[in-house]
Amino acid sequence: MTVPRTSGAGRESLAEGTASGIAPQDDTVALLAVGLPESGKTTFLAALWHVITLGTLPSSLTVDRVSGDRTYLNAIAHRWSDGHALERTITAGGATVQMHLRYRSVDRAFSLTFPDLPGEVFRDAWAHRTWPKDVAEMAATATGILLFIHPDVHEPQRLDVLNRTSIAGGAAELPADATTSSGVPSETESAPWLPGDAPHAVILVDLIQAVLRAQTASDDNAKGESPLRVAVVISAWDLVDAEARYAPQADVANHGARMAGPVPESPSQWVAHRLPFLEQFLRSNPETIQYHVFGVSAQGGALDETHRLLAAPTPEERIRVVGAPGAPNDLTAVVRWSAGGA
Amino acid sequence: METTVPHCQLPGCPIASGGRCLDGFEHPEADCPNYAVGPEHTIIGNAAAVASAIATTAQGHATAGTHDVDTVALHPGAPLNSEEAQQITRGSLSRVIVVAGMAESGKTSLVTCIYHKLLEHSVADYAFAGSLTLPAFEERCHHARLTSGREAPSMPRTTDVDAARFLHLQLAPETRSSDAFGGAERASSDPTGTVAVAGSAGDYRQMAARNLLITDIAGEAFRLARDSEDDARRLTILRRADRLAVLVDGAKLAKRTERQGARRDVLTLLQSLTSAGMIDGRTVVDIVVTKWDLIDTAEQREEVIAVVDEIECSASTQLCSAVAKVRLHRVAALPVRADIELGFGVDALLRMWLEESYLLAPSCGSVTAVLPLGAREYLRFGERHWARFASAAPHPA
Repeated sequence: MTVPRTSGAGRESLAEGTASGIAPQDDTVALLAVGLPESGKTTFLAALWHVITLGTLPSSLTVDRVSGDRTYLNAIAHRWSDGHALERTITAGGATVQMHLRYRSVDRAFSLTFPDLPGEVFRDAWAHRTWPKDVAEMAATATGILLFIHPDVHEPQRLDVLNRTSIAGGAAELPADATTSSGVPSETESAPWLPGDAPHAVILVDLIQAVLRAQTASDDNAKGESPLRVAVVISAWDLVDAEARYAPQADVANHGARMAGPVPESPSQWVAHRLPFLEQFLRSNPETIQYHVFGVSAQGGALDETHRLLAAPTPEERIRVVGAPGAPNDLTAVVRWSAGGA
Repeated sequence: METTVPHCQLPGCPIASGGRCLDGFEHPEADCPNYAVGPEHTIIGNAAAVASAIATTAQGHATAGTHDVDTVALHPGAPLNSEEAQQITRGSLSRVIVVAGMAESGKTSLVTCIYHKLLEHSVADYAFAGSLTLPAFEERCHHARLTSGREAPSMPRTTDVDAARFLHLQLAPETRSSDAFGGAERASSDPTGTVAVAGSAGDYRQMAARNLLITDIAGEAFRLARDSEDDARRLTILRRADRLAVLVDGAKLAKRTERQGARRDVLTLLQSLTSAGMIDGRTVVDIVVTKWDLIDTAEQREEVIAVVDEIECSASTQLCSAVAKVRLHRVAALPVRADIELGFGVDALLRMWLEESYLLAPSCGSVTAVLPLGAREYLRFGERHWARFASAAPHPA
């Protein structure tokens, strides 16, 4: 079955890329969507599928054809377009679908696979230090990853920051049990460490490292020696936008000193501000990682604002993409960059 | 059961075929850092391959234990053993730091402090670039977080006395990420899809990411080493260490009734390690006074500082001809007072760990120098990679 080309309206609105600038050399693009549970992977895929197959707005990619069972993708796109919450992904969906796409600006086509894996796979990889064999194979052969991050990131609070006393002058009055500045004697019991207590930034770094190691160890590394392209997708970007508009001075009590001051404007600034550990890692490995940060609101707003979400003539008009060249609702720009285009 | 054979990481060593150890060790299974048993594996050429090899080993351990053919093991994330650490030191610019000290002197607090700071920002102009032991760091940080259920931070007691284990951090100079490579994000928007690699081989040292391998050894091991040269000789990791950081418990120094005991602990430990031949002219010794905030607020502050100065003087006198250098540092990893920055003194200590190296000193040997038996890992790395450094100006020691 041939899927009709996405009709375009108006001129090409994206920055022109050069044919030589579109990597990889072969025409197979395998993207791995990585992210913890409820980080927005499925919503993005649902919206992308809709845009690619039925979208009417200008986009940087068009679809030549689609092969494989589209049941899962059609189902999630259906729910997304009606503004419904997407159910938690329990099993991998869409793994067999191959989208044959074409760049609008240059005559170059590629085949894209984009399986929708449950976030639990990645959460458990961190916690239990194993992942399914098929996921390992996807990691080993991925030409790029989409790293999904929900703005509500987990940052465990440090006791020493919370307990630090202020002094007016002279010697501080230290806690009676502060025999050392390390705190209470070690015989006081702590709750056992749970891997899920780790900061999200740490888990995400660990996952990227796992992908890189899988690729290094694999003989089937499709991208060869090229750096792994990492598209950092801040999902539900509308929440960040709202925070910037209505709460310019950060809530220090909840987020600590790091959040004091104006909320960053761009997705890159947001990552540098809220996930500095991840940001350091991404920029400190230029030989192995090329990255770009996108802010994406695939849903367009909170799901309890259905009347507003459904007010747009077409569901793709709800989409917002920040940090990508071209139209502000062109979700394919994220895929285009991940595939090696500008 | 899989058959294991002796083999060697050095190319051309005949030990695998029943010959003698190329480095001349009479008992290579005990003394040679390149000796191993197991399936033959390739020489590691870069950090990524290092991690891959470790991952492969982890995979073998995992599948052997669980018999689950549908899963693939990731790197366990636990502190590295000596073999895993050697795979890193052979393949990339590395520093091995032995953190020594009596129980509760602040060893774990110091190391986790570096990690905590990296979670927030770069440290000493070095950005976090990777780690094979993130779960291990997280487990150690747990007791200093709200999720522990505690009201005040604490650190878990390290219990492993016998085996050397390492926490791992890969750190990249800030100049590397922004200038030399044009910034990864600028590269990502480069339509050619390439990453600019700037600089000559002479810039490599300044720009190269460095692996920091920091020991995680129980204080009990150092108590034993303090009291017995035989136990001191069991700390074989010292022979491969770039630096020995001996911690002096600032909380004890701050108390008159424990001050002299703390002083004796560090001086007798150094004495025992020197007598046992575990530290020598290639060792840089850091005397790290921990919990400096407690000293700063002690009633006898001036008395305490005088004792600290005396420790530095005694150690320098005691070790002046025995080690490369003695440096004194004052740190407060978890200061209680709000007017003392978290991780006071840690930045300067970390910078020295990363940038000071016997290998990079002007007096370091020429390209044709023959390495002595039992040469430290950084010398072996230097010999193998000397061409890269040959045009570099000596780094100020």
